[in-house]
Amino acid sequence: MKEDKNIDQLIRSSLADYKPLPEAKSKERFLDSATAILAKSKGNSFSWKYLAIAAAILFGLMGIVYYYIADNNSQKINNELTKTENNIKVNDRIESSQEINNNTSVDETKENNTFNTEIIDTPTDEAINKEPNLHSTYTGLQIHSNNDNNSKNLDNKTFIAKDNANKEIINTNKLTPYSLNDVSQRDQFTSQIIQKTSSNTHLYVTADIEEKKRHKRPYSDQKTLNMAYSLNYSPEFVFNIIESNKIMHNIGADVHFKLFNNKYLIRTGLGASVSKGYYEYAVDYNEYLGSYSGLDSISFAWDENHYHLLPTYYKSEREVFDTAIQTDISRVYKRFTYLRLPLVLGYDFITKETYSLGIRFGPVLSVLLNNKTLSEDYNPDKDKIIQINQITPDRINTNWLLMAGINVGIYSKSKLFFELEPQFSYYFNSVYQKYDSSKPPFSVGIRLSVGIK
Amino acid sequence: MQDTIEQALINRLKKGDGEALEEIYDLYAPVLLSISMRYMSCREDAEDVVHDSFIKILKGIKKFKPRFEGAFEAWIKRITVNTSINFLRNKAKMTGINGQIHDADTIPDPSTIDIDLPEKMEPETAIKLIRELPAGYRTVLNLYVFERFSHKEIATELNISVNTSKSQLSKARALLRKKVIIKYTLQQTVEK
Repeated sequence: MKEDKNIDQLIRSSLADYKPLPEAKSKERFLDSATAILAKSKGNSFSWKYLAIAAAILFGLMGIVYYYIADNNSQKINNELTKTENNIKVNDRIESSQEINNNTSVDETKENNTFNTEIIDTPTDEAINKEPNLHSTYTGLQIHSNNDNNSKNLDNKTFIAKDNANKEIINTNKLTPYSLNDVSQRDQFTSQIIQKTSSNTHLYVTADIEEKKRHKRPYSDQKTLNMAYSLNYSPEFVFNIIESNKIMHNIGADVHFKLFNNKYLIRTGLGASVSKGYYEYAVDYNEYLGSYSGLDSISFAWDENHYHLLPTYYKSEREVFDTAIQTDISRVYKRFTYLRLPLVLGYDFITKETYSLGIRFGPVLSVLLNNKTLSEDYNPDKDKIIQINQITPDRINTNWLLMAGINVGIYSKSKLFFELEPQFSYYFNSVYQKYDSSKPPFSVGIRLSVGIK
Repeated sequence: MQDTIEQALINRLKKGDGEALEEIYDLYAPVLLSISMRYMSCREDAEDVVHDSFIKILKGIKKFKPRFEGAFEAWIKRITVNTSINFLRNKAKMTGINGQIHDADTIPDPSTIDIDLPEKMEPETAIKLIRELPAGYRTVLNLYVFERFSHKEIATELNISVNTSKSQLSKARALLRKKVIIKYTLQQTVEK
């Protein structure tokens, strides 16, 4: 026991101050590896900063949208009040409503049709929303009133003539302006409108520019204002990646905000991106050649009857491996699921009641949520594995891309709408953590979406 | 003072200061290498273990919270010990070498029983003799003598029985003692 303590004490005291210096190349190797780890760690925190910035921008834009909606509502209320006030003032001057019979003009342009035309200024919202009852509910200024001595220049307002039967909207901006005092000009104006419309109908002229916009607005339901919701699916083909499987499936839910005359759009939401890929591994191994029964020990017993030793053999199975190292490439197939946070801005060149055409662009942030191993195609069997080196770099945790696309919207008479959007995406950084390729990935895809206004 | 410097270094490392990396390596690499060299049979393996240990330290530094004085050094030493054991375990799996031990080596030579051990050895000599021990003996001896593990803890760590641990330690001591005596007896003989 004392000897044990002595030997323990001896080696302990001998090595108490032993601090060998590592070789210089070991230090270099460590510093290289450590710098890469630090850079990666910084890279991750950098991405999270971007995420925070993106969230701040998103909330800021949402704030602007809500402010815009609130402002729009208050403006409408003000407009209503102004209109009512004007109507009261005007009605004081008008003795009665009067229908214009433009029989002369009609006869010239449309034979056998009698036009019963009424030109009305500034209809109310209720009148617009209840188009069939427009005539009966509206009590606005009739601009052809004999008692109206005001001069009215059409350049000051945007006029719309609405054909009640065919529900056509005629922009009267291009028509000749006229003065209410000048009967010939007024008749000419009326005639121009009539020529543009079908027969036997009432014409309504509105001076409310906001009403005009509302009629052209694809999301026409005023109660939902300028918001819409949609679900989308977009297959995407990614290029400049290591794996051969380039297809990526994206699904998501979006909320759309339409701004400024419905020409501009902000679209954001949540989505998931699912893609399959593989990691390649180089497996160094010694091939299994077989086994034999090896002798571990022999014990002898004395056989008194026969006067000789009786041996007992203790054996164990021993495996034999080739000494040469061989290498196999193994693939582990995985499924990667990314969370996608888009912030898409858009502008519509064309906005009609039934369709729209515009461009969309904006950043999309992808955050790796999950990678699940699907299958492994390597079976080492009895071979002795020496080492395994991963060849394919790991997928990156966060990734930014810039998407641009052309959007075609199709709007049904109900609240449903559909969108078709061919897209091109440019990845700011590789989808891999360590990938030396100078070419960043890019992708093409198409976004199919269905939504409600 | 040392603790303050250590804490400052840790804080810099947590913030990703590249210069702190070099400083912390210079400060602690010799300590960790002295540990890994006791476990490994060659210096190259020991340096690999130090490298892997530092990488683990770096990856875990953000989660490390010092709870007592010297906690950082204790933590990194423990990481190095674990890395060393894992390294040996993996190597044993790959090579199939479980330590070719010849019991004859551990049987005390009657002629050496009464010989006193030297007061002190050169550290390099001590390391060399320890590294000559079979891997199993060496590991148990290191854990018991230097890391001051109990046999129960050693058994848990190495997934062996307590009796095996005791037996391995006993044999390791005997073999080491024999090597020390041979070394010094031979040295004295040569000197005479």
